[in-house]
Amino acid sequence: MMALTQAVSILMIEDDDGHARLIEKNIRRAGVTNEILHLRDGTSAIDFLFGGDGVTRADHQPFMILLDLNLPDMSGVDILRRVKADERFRRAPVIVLTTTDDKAEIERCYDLGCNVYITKPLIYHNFAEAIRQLGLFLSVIQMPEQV
Amino acid sequence: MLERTARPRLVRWPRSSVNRITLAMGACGFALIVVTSGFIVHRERDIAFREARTVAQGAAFSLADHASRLFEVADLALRTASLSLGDLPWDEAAGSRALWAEMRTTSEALPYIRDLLFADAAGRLRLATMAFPAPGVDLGDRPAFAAARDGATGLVIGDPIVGRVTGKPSFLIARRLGDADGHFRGMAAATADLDYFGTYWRRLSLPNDAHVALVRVDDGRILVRLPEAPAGTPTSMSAMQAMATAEPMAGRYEPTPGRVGFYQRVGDLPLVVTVSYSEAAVGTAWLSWLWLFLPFPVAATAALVGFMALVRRQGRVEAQANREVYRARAALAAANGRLEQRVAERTADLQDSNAEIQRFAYIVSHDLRAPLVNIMGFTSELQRLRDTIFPDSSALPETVREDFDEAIGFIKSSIDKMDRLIKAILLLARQGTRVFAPESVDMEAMMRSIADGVAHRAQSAGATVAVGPMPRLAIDRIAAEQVFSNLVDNAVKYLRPGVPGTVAVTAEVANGRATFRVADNGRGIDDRDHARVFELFRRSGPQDRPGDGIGLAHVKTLVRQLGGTIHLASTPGQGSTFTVTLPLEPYGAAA
Repeated sequence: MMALTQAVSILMIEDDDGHARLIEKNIRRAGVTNEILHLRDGTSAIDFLFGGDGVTRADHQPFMILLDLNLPDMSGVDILRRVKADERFRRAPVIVLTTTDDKAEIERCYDLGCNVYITKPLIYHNFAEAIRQLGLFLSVIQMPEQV
Repeated sequence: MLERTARPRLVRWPRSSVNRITLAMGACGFALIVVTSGFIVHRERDIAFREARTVAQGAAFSLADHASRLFEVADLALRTASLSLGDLPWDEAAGSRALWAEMRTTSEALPYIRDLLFADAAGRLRLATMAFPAPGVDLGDRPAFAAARDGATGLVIGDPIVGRVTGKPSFLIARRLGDADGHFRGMAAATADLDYFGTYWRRLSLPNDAHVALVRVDDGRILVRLPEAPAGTPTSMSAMQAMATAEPMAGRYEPTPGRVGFYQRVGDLPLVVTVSYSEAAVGTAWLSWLWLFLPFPVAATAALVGFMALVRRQGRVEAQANREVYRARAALAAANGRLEQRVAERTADLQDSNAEIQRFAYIVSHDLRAPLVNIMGFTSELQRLRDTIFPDSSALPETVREDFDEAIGFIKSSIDKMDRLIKAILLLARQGTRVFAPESVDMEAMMRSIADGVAHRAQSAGATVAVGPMPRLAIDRIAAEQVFSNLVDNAVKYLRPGVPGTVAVTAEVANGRATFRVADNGRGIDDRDHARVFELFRRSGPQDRPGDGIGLAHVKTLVRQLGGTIHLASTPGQGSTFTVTLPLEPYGAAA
């Protein structure tokens, strides 16, 4: 079981606690042991990444983002856009994991620089399989040098 | 397509020009009538006057001819009588009853000779047919006797007289009698019966107030005249005499202003027959003809006026009709404009609410899905714990584990169902936002590929799919394919068991629209369900085939978006026919 580079944190932006729990469980089952930071809404995600209160860990540690698009306070697309527009984070891998399988939405996300787009399947086996594969993906991914 | 509110251009019939044309035609017609009538009237007048002249001239000629024959006969009678007299001395002749009888026979044979008579050289009447012996009358003072005595050689025409014996108007036609050595012996004479001329002339009934007269040329004395005037009336014939000097045989003269006369010499006698007529009378006759003729041009004019009035009225009616048509068209155009405006408004409204429904469906499907992911996920987590909860060594009754499995099973199948329903809603919602890209599509090729797609299933069900000739449409290929593959798929899906299935796809084109029919001999759809089958999640008949009741709802949405209609005709147990009508070109493209 290969572990993702220990220094890399997984930033999970997901408003649904159930989804977050299921994702985490399946990532762990895939053998990925990296730290998972769970942010429950867009505002706290933005604060965490760009906030000026000095508590942002993003400055010190490389991370990758698991992003849900349907957030209660903003669209995940906006977060994606800001991340990819920021010189510090633009190389950070972004995996969009959401319920939407709308083609236009998918294209938009890829256009904005999303690395992987995964639809949350309802068939749990499929879902678990998708996450497991994501875990495999995470384990082989080479993180770029943090700027 | 909503901008077609341009008012229709109307060509108005130029009413004033119709009037002008009508008036011009009327004027032409009237002028024609006037000219023609004028010509006819003028010509008739000309003919009337010429004819009057011809008649008068002809009458003068024939009457003169007639008279000359009479005088010739009279002369002959005088000569015959003279021969019979011979050299018989007057006393003896006066006493000869035989001679008298002979003379009387001659006289009676000639109707216009009243009497024959002889006078001796002294002018004494010796023998006369009116009485025997002759009355003692002296003719010596008669100008005719004087002329004979003075050596006149031919016939002498005497003055008009009233007979000294008979008391009747007459004139003498005399001839000199000479003895063997040529000395004057006496006079043979006949008295002409003036009534004879009058009667004869009257029979001719000459027109135009004609006057006929027998006139002595040298002194202009009128011997006989019709209409009658007392014989011997000294009427001036100076105009005639003047002409006769230049033209002794025949000519024309003007007896009085307004009258025209013709004269004709009677043989070689110093007599003429004159015939004159009144031009005023000719004019009167012409005028009376004119009165008879006048109704024709008047009638023609009346007809013309009537015709013009009719044309004018017709023109007015047409103009009125045109105005009404114009008004109606304007009203129609206005109504059209309003209608299109309302359609535009409604369309905008519909588009708004449509968009709203789509947003709603989109949001609902996503927000419904999120909890479903959890239910499914954690149910699966629970399932993973099953063996931990119910270890083989568990003291729990077996039914508890079975109840657990049953509960998990129902939860999962319900989630599956829910997932399918949400997907269907999502599909329809997406369909609403899809932008169609019409392209030229060979429908026949498309239908054949659809038929090929179900061929395997059809074959295993013992069914055949036939595709008729199809038109070419400008349409969104994917949408069209979805519509017809759904319909054909359904037709193959719902066959009657035991009956060889036939599915026929046909098309016809009319009025810029193509009508497609997908007909099968399958199990059919109950009347009550004809509307329901097009609703989402609704199905008809025995639920023995897989499906969620999405296909036809999807088809209906697509057809509507393609600007078409879909209808179902079906008899349960006999088959169904889905009729899809689609525009040959998308709306707006042709406009």
